[in-house]
Amino acid sequence: MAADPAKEAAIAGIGLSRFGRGLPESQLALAAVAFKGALADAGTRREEVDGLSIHLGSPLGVDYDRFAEAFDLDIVYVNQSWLHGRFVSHALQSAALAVTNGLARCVACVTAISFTRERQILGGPGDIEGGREEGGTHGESPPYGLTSPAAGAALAMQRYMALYGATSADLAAVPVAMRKHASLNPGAVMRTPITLEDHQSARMIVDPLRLLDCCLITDGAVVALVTTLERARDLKEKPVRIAGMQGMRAGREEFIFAPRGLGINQQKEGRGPAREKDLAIYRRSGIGREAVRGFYTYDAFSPLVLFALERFGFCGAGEAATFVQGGRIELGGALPVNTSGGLLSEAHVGGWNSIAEIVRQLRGSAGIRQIPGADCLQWGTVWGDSILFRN
Amino acid sequence: MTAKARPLPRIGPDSAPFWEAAKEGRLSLPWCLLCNRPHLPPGPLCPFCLGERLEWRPASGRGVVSSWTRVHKAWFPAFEGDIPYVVAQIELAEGPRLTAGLFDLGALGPRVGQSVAVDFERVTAEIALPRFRPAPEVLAASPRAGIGECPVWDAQKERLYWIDIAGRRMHRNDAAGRFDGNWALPHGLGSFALRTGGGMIAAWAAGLGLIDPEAGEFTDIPSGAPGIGPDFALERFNDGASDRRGRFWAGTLARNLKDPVGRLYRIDPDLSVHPMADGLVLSNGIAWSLDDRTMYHCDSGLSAVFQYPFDLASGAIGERRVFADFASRRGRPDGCTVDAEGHLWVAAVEAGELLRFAPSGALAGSLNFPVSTPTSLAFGDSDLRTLYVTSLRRDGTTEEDAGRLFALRPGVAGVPEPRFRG
Repeated sequence: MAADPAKEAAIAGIGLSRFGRGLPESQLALAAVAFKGALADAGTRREEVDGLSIHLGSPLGVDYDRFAEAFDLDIVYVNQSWLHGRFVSHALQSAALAVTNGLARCVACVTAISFTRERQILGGPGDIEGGREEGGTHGESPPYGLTSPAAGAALAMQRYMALYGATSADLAAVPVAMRKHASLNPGAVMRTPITLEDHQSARMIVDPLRLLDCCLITDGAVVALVTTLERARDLKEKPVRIAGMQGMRAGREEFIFAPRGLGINQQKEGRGPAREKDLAIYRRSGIGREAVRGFYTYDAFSPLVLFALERFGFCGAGEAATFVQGGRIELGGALPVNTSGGLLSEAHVGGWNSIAEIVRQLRGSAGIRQIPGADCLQWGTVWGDSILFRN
Repeated sequence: MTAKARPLPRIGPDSAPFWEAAKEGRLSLPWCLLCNRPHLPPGPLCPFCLGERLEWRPASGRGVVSSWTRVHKAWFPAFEGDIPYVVAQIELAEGPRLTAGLFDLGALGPRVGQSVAVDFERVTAEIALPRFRPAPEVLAASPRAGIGECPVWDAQKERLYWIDIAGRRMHRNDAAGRFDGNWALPHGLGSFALRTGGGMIAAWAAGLGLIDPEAGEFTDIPSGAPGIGPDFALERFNDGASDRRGRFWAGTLARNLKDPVGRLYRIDPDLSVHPMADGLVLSNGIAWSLDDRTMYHCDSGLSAVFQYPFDLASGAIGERRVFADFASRRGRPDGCTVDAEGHLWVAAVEAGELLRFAPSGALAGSLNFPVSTPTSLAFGDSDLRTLYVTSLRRDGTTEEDAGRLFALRPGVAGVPEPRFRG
């Protein structure tokens, strides 16, 4: 990344609404709380915000035009991605590209969602995802009764288990770790610790995924203000630098909820070590994987954590089910993952609850969850996109 | 759409031919006329070479399960009544993968690697959805036997041997399932087992022998003194198999197929013959539990699978009791084998079914067979995951494939076949 602070992006402020289930507020009301919180956090004014990067629009979230209108903003740059959780880093990356290229001075990355009010969108009759372009890219296929994104993760995990001998009990280490982290987070929705036995006795949802392998359905909002490092240094809080990034992968060899080469959808079979192309973020940023003190990922379903770890080479193909055992991904372990509880236990705010946690960790304000010496954290997902954050 | 309406495929110009064919009960794929490859999902051009000339061609409808899930939650009211149901990704024989329904097979699957064939489920007047079911594949190049029997996988040679009792021939298929040789036999052969040192022990209709059909060698050995060995005026040898101490077991059938004069014999490595059980009518498949504490034995005449307590060290068997009674079931038990999960597979001849029993005797699954007369089965191939099934051909049958050898990837492995140590 460039040494020129005008050419480097940073998160200058973060704001959160409360997270919960069945919250009475509108998405816009949740967004208002998060937006004002982010402005206050950064010590800046809304007049400074001239860009919007919307992760999830209406009806689940808020569209950019309504957001700008509601808060009387004067916007010159907009990005809004399709209604999918996967576009977390896309929203941040668009903001970073905009501010470092002079398209905007400060971009508000906005995620404000009410999953509980719009519940039928998730795999129900209101979900148009499965009908997209001859079949959903999650692997949904509503005519056959595959109507939830969970099905795609289930298909991938089922094959992963058959190929590598991993078991549902192995998978339990992921939700158990997430819940342990959530238990240390007063803002988390699910805080009661769970055990392997709880996981194994939880009801099956889409074999092999049990209830505890599926994320929460919640409401909440997060706003992150992205500006240049140069400007961020003039603001109130210590900037969280975007030190490296790489985009999402797509192609016949990619399936959103599977590692490459697993043999799902039209993927060829034959898995190898992580590709150089997928590790480019480390090379381009000059930050090695060994510098990463904590890993944050989109844990909508527990297998996604395994697949993301393999994608970024933290372990080899088929090894993640073993890698995550013994507390390795828990706070205190070698590679803590989603230290605020993730989508599985903190809340499903489209992954932005974890972005907020990254900011807290790099500011050293994560309290009892603080990773000692946290100076470099990675967001990386099963679908290959990633951002390296530094303080 | 109403809440109860079933979601239908979204049909566009590129996918319309797929659904047109499905409506007529055919699976069809778009092939590129330039690079001659099929693809899915249907696109406007070939994703591999970007060739624009596509041709829809009938697909074989065969494939293997590459992954599956069983849905337990009702996201869609329309599927509430079906829960739990199975959806799979099928890797078609032509290469592309397809998401589709899969008939739930209980304990027989679904399993990754299981071979399946397409069927269709009509959901509206205009729409039929592919739905797959497990499918034995006929090894069409293999000869049509009169009475195909005794498939035995030779792991050393990677060959499958099987016999045609009526045609007095031994057949051989290679590891790819291709028929690759056959040999005339001097007598009617009931069964055989591979020997440790090469060649086979044969249970002829009226005697025992050490044979090597590929080398043209046939040596008779004694089949027991009078009163000990079979009385070939009344009985003749039928199916047999080796236990894990290398003893060969073969039973006999009553020549009149009526009187209980058949017996079960044990031939030890020293070639001594020991009568072990009597009162049989049509002795057939023999197999052992994985812990070698139970011997399974089919009698097609008595229409039952029996089990005996078995002592591997001494080769002694205890009191016989019924493991699976076919009195209330279609067909009769013929050949059998035990899989790596300890379940017993039985070919139900005349029922056109393969049955899989749990060690408790409970039926754990059944599979419709393409012909009504499967006779015997054996796991083979380097991974022991192909189930080879022989069949017989009745005079006057209209079943085109009766008598042929079939192969099936049931998704479960077999265990290596022990060899006769004599």
